[in-house]
Amino acid sequence: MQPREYKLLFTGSMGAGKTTAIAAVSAIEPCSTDVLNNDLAVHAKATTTAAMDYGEVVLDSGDRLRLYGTPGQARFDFMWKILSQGALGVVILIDNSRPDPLADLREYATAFSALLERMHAVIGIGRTETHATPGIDDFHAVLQELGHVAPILSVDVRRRDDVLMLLDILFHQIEASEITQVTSLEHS
Amino acid sequence: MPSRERKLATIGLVLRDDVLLHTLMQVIRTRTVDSWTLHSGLDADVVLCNPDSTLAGVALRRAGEAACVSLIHDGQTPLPGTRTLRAPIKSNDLIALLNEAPHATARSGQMDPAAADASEQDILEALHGLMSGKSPTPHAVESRAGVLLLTPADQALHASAALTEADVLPWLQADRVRVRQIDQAALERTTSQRIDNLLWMIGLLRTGRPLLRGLPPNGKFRLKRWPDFGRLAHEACHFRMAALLSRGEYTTEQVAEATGRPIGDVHAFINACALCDLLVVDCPPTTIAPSAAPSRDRRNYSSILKTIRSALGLRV
Repeated sequence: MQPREYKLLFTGSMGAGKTTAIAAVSAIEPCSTDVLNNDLAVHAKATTTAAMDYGEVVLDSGDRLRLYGTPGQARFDFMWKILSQGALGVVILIDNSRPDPLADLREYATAFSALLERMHAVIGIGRTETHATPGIDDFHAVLQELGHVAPILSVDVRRRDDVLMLLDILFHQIEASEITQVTSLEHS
Repeated sequence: MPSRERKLATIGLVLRDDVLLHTLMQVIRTRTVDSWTLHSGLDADVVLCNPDSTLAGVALRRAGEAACVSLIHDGQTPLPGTRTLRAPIKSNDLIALLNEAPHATARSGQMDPAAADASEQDILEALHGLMSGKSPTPHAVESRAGVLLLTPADQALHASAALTEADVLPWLQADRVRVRQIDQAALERTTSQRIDNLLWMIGLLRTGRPLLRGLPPNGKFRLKRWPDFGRLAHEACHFRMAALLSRGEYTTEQVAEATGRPIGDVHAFINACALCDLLVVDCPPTTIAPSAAPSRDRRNYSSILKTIRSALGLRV
């Protein structure tokens, strides 16, 4: 039997920690398509991901969980659509030190709205310790405006435990969607 | 007729206040509920402090905010969290202060049984009532664990420094509290921090108790929004409970059944959510939007996710 493949996405603004988050859980050395950052006005980091990051987790059965990090800049949004096809879920990472983190969430929540509608999404807000505002309530308000409900958590993706927590919550979301589908089918 | 022997100590008072106090203590001795004597140690029921004294900080640490009273002259700022008495001391103010004074408990660590009066409340009920009232007025919550200063409307806890684990632990074991309004001036010299972490812990660790009084035992509950598990203590079962309760309305029995956890754990989770204002009670049924998901979404992910969790080292 051919090994199966599952896909998880990590998206978010430039510098939000997508590459770091994938590296925290990948079983292989993550492949990055980093290039010199020409958008120094947007973020001061030296390199940025031009196409995507890739990592993977090999499952007991030989199946693979493929971890894709999308490029952060909106001009690569055609990649977002390609990568989101068939994805199990999405982890949206927001950098709270950026000029307008709420606008960042609005942009990525809109781009990945299909996964958010299925509640196959989780949102991690980084650098909240140094940048307390906007607060978690403000991010929830943005999602509410867009008609979505999702877990929003303060995280530091340099900590593997935080990345695992995001993934575990995403998996619980997916499982709960099955339970509620079964419940609604029983009631219909 | 005076019923109990109680102690009043002073720290750093200026001479004229000290002399006046000694005189007043002679005058009012038949007018207080208990019998009060001046005492030289900090194991007193009331410690009257000059907030500008260099010893005031020591008194505050050793006697606690509940026992300390700031004696303030015009322009002086009281010690954080303490009650205040205005100088020059008036006999009626002193009598009222002594009659309302909590009993010294710092030494024994035990609440005086006689102090368990009607003004004491169960800690969960008191905090739930206070926080859901969303009052903009600062309040002091007193127990044998100490004093918490908070402003319910802002979900703010005021303290001279960030709470440490050692500060929080006694509150997790506290049962009974008194709540009173305090003056805004008592919050000077303090900084604000979010109180949800402490409320969450107090709710979550009381697994052996029923739902809070305001929550209907057979009611259906839904989450307004997810708890910020990045900051709040949690176990994996809490993710499952939150995932269910964020998608629809459930009774506690349904959540217990779906998560395979004892009902006491579900009650504790619901109580913690209620304390942090995350809960909608007896909400009208929500209409789940028709899913635009392809048919693949209907397949059973449970076994796949079990394998993925195992590979990532997550507890299944």
